[in-house]
Amino acid sequence: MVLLDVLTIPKDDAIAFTFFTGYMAMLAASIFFFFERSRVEGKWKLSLLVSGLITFIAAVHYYYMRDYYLATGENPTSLRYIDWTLTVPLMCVEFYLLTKAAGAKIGLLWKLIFASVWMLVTGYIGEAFNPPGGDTGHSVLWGVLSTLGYLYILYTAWFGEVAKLAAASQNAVVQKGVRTLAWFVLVGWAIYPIGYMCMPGGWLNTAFGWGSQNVDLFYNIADAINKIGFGLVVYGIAVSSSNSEDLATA
Amino acid sequence: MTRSLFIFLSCILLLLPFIGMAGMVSISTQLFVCFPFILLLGIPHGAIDNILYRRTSSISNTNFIVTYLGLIGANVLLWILWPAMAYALFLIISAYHFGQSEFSHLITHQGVLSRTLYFFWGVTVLSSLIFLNHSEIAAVTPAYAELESIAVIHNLTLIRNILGVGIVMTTALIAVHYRAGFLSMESILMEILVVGAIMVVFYLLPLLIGFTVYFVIMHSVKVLREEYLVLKDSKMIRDVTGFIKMLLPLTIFSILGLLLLWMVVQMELIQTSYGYIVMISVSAITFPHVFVMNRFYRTIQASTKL
Repeated sequence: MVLLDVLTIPKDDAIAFTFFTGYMAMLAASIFFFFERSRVEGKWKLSLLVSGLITFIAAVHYYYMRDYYLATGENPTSLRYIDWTLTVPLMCVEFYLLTKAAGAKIGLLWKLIFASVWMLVTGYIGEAFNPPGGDTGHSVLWGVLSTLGYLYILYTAWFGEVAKLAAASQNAVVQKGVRTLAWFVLVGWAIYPIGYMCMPGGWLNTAFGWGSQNVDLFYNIADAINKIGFGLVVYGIAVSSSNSEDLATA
Repeated sequence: MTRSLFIFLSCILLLLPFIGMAGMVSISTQLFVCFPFILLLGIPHGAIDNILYRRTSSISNTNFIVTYLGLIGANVLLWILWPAMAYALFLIISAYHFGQSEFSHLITHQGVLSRTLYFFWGVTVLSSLIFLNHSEIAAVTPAYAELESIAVIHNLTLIRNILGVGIVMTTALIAVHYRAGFLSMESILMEILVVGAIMVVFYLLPLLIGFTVYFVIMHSVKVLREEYLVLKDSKMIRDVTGFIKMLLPLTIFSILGLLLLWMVVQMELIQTSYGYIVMISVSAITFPHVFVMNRFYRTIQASTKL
């Protein structure tokens, strides 16, 4: 009976819908990536494993978040950030793995991980410790600090070490893949600040009246695009690269 | 993505929330905020026109300066005689110039279609600036008697129609360039992002601050970088220090000129507002600058990777 109560989805609750579809999509993507590992060359297996881990970790968190949301009607902020603290650095690992063949050093990985953790911890402070009713100063300050981490990753992907290594790789598939992932960082990751600014006291909340209910909607959409899309791009690179190597050896 | 766009997007993410908190900003405060950026980055991007032009021309420095000043004088005269026409001309040539610099790293030829695209891209950006800040312009205009003469161009229906034509023509011309292989799908997506970001800035920020953010970062910084790369490539400068030294004389000269104009207005030797005088001055120096930059892009696009 309790389970039935918890699982009742209001007909007009788009957020609950995106929690459930997000959960299933992440789980399906994980199964897809894990099974497809066998189809690609050895050097790409780790990349696909990481892609699968990203969506699997997200699926587990979405499983809890959807119930938390339905039971309380509140933003599952802590669960959300625990998920991101694990999955976003893993996305940075994907950048490192893609460019490793072109000479990426372990330092690049640590810099990206540090920037992503900075982005998330400051974002968490901004969101979780926002006073009741919201405080614009608090929201803006921690939002700006978080954005610095995002901008570092964006710069690295488009102009910095990742972009330079991809250019030096002489591999068209890797170059195209890194560029596509850079687009994800530019457009896909930019959805998160929109969600952040919807919380009480946030800029979009005070300027346009967008409510906290929009926070989860934006985050769920962004997660689906970024985590599954990111993985599919890596999968596409792995398959294309494996196919071209098969042709070369045939 | 260009570095200018990266800086532009960074400014949007980092500065917009603060400016959003600021609320209404008066025109004089806007001028106070914008002036340093225009002086330090806006003016320098046109401060080596003589060097850029003479790099590929045998014209003497004296002849160049005489012609340059002649065009400035003609433009000022036009402002005195027919302000609305002068203002319209200013917007038209600025539209072409902004579009040309926007596509300089993407389109490597200068055909009629490309020039038309530059123009309509600029028309879209400038008309959106006026359209998205129309209420602010309408509120400011009655306070300055001089602006009444050019207010006809700010007619809401006219601007809305021009913006519509600009968007349709830009979209169509971008599609033509894509079909012809001059633009990739990625650069088109980036262009959508650029125009979208510019419009967000115009919509959210006060008129002058919004325009300055666009003008300084997306235009001036980009052009300065291109000028630097070309001059370095042709071994006319060795490093950034040499480039700054090259920019300094006419930049200082221009700043002194603006200071002189300010004093003239303060002493009431000219019975008009300083803002209006600055607009005429900017329009006057834009006129020859656009011709110089048109030649600059024409001569480098085939030989230099920007």
